[in-house]
Amino acid sequence: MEIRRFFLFALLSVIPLFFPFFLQGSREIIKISLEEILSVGSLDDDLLFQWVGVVSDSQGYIYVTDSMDYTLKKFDSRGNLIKKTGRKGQGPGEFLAPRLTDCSERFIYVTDQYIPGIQIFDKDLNFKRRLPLVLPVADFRVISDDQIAVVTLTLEKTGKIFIFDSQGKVKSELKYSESTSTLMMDTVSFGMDPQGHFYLAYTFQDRVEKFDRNGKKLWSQKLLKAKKVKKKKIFSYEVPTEIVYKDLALDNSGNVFILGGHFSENRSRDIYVLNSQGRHLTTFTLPDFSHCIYIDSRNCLYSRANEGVTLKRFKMKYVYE
Amino acid sequence: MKKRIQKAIKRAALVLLILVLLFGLSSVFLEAGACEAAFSVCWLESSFMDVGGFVYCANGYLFCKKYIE
Repeated sequence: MEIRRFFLFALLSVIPLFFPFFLQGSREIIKISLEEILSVGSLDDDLLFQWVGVVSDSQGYIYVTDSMDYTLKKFDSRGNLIKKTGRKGQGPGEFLAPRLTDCSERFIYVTDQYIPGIQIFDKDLNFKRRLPLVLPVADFRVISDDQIAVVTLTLEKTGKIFIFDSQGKVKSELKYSESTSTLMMDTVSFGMDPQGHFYLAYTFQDRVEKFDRNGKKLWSQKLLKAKKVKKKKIFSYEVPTEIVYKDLALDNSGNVFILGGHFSENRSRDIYVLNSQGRHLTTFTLPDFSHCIYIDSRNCLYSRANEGVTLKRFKMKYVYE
Repeated sequence: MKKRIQKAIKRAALVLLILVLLFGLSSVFLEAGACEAAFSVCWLESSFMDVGGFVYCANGYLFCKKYIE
């Protein structure tokens, strides 16, 4: 009888602890405000020169690619530089123009604009190997050490996300577009949720879309009522010259964050937030221009300041309806 | 005398041709933005017929557009 009472008491006291989470799950965001909690690099130091890619691991370490000094840098959660690796070159662990980065539990993955493939480093920034890919990478996400989702740039008319294994062989592909549009029009930034859904923001079209893992389109949204982007003929190719969406990231509740480009009221600063069903919840504005956004597992948002000399981390404060 | 004149005409024509080419290219670059100009230069350097080179230039253009504009 005593034991029963104890368990009942324990159960009743634990329920209120979970109550806010149940509420958060059922209510929707109506506003997001930002509180700056970290700033790495400034005009007065040489921590960062022109950072491009950022990722944070499960222990809170931050990895940043720096285009100007050809390096991959590791910072602790307070922004102290722990280590950096890389120099100008095309050998193992070297860079010509380091760009995007992502991580798994064990490794850091880095692309380079001029070197094909993806370089893989351990968490101490020791070069491990290169994932051989022929085409340049427009965006990628590491699903596991043996699965990497990649969007490449090609002259093909169809948009595809390729899933590569650790040897660089295509395991599967998701065809997200069959349009007959001109070069680069199907370029996307994308994200994945834990259920394997793909969220796509088109770089040169006013389209945000969700696909299931089998390639079935679940929804498609236009957020900006943007007309067709302007194009310019560069020699024999028509090239789009206005960016609609610059980047896409997901928070740990499955909300979709999209950084707007030329058509946004505040170019390269407005972030549109959608729920996982594609409903626009709110829009908020970054204090500085950014080329990308990244959200870590603690729902902190990372963006650029000082034209790439500074990396900012913000705590996102959600206001629910 | 005739030969001299012919030589002078040939030189003038050559200079004129170079000027026209330079003017034509510069107008392409001035008309376009910084990223478009970089794209043009990249592709000129990689050779017109190299499709792989073109795709890499396009990747650079994409980065330029996102980062600078």
